[in-house]
Amino acid sequence: MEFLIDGIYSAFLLVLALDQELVRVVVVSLKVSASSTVIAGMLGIPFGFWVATAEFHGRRFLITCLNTLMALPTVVIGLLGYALLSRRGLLGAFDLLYSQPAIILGQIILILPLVTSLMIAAISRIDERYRRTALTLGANRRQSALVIFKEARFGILAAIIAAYGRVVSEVGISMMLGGNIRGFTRTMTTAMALEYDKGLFALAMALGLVLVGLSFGMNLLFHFFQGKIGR
Amino acid sequence: MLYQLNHLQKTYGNRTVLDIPFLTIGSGKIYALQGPNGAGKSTLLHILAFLQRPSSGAIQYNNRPVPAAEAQLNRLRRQVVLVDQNPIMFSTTVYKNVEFGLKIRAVPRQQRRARIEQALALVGMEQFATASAFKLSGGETQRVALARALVLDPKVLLCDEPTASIDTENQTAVIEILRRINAENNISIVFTTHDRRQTDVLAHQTLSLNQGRLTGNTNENVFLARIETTGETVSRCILADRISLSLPTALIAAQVGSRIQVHLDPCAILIAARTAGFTANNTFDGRITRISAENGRVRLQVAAAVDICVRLSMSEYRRQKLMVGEEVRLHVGEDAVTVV
Repeated sequence: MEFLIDGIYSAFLLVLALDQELVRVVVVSLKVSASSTVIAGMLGIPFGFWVATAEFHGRRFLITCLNTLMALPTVVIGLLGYALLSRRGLLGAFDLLYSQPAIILGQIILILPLVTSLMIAAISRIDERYRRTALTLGANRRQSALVIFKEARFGILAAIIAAYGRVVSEVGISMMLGGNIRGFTRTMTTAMALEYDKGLFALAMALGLVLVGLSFGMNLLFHFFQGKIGR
Repeated sequence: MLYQLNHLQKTYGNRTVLDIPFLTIGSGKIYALQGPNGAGKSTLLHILAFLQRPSSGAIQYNNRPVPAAEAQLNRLRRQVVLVDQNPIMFSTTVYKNVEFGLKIRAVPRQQRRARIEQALALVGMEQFATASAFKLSGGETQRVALARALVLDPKVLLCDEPTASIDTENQTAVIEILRRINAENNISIVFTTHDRRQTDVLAHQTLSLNQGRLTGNTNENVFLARIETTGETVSRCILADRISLSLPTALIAAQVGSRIQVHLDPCAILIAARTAGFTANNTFDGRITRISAENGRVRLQVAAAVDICVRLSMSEYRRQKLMVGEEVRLHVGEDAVTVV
């Protein structure tokens, strides 16, 4: 018990002192996760909107595939990414392995199905009357799509937050495609795994605290946007 | 002519929900569209609003065929606005809801403000401009939806049961708004309703739909009926499980146990005070619950085993001096019965 309390105490000290190593790891993590979330959002949001509103053969099959891909383990994506990015791989010529872009690519593969699926769910929940009302008030197809998009904004925001939470906390892809290089590809989760291996719990716990704090902050922000604060 | 429909059909799979051989709708009038649930009223409104396309047949608007191209349809939609039975508000303020269509039409901000204020004042909702549209009651929502439509100064206003889900006070307000915009702005209105009184007070013309088809009668006095026995010349028909009528077998032409729809012509039903009543077949007793004047005739609502409407000429009404609350006897002759 004393060991745990000491660990938490030391972790707090590291966070409060803004330890250089801790800050560096957090910055890399945030940068990589934000990049992959933004790119996955840019791809997944329009794609999800299209799947939710279009009628085409194989739509249900596509949704089933997306739902299945949501459960893809990070190590599988790590392996797949390694096969693609290693020198002998299809994208080996780009020399991306053990770099931040490699982690970003892997994380995009991880969260693209999640963003798309949650987007489909968010749009499907929107009442059909919104589209009809926009059309009868003179909107064209693009303007009525914007109305639906606007009405689904909290669902979309939730999708983005869920995706960010997923990438910031994953370890498999960062480890296998990033290589846990100090100051370059070392993320919060890979650093925690390393510190655990070394038996140094203070930094690992400090990073854990930052992760939990981040998650809490994101949810707080979401509720703020949703207008739940102050009710 | 505002609308002309020719051989218009709307089908979903094998089910035909609308089948109208010919219909014209004139400009500047108020049309009531009556019919039971599932009669095709909302589908017809959606087609008139250019939100749905007919499966077959032709529709003309302002004497021109309705185009198929989306861009041209959008131009037509800007002249015709549909107000849903349960209108949905965009999740923003009342003001911004009303502003939506004007913004789409790129109306300058100053003009927008003036028109929005005017529209909200017309429906008596000006004090709600900054309120969240999601927090309005059913009646308030209906009025804001009307303002949202009227601010666009449409040529045609289509209302799907505009008073179905609101209280009496708001019903009266909505009816008054519709009457006013038709009279003052010459906006053509087509509205659906189950309420016969609304039709009487508001509509210049009534259209009746039943199972997707236009019917000659106005759907009042239409009852589900069951054939109980069939004889060679006379069959027994039970109306709404409550009233038994003996009718010529040839007229009914249905088998025992089958279910049909029967229309009793309100002008052909005979009515008399119970004391001076009939003794013939097919008579039943009731009490007058409402009397109203309608297109030069008198309409009496009679609570018998079912609610039945009877229409009398003004002279016949004066002769009989019937009053609300009076016990009466009705006689339904075979000339009053049509199988729908």
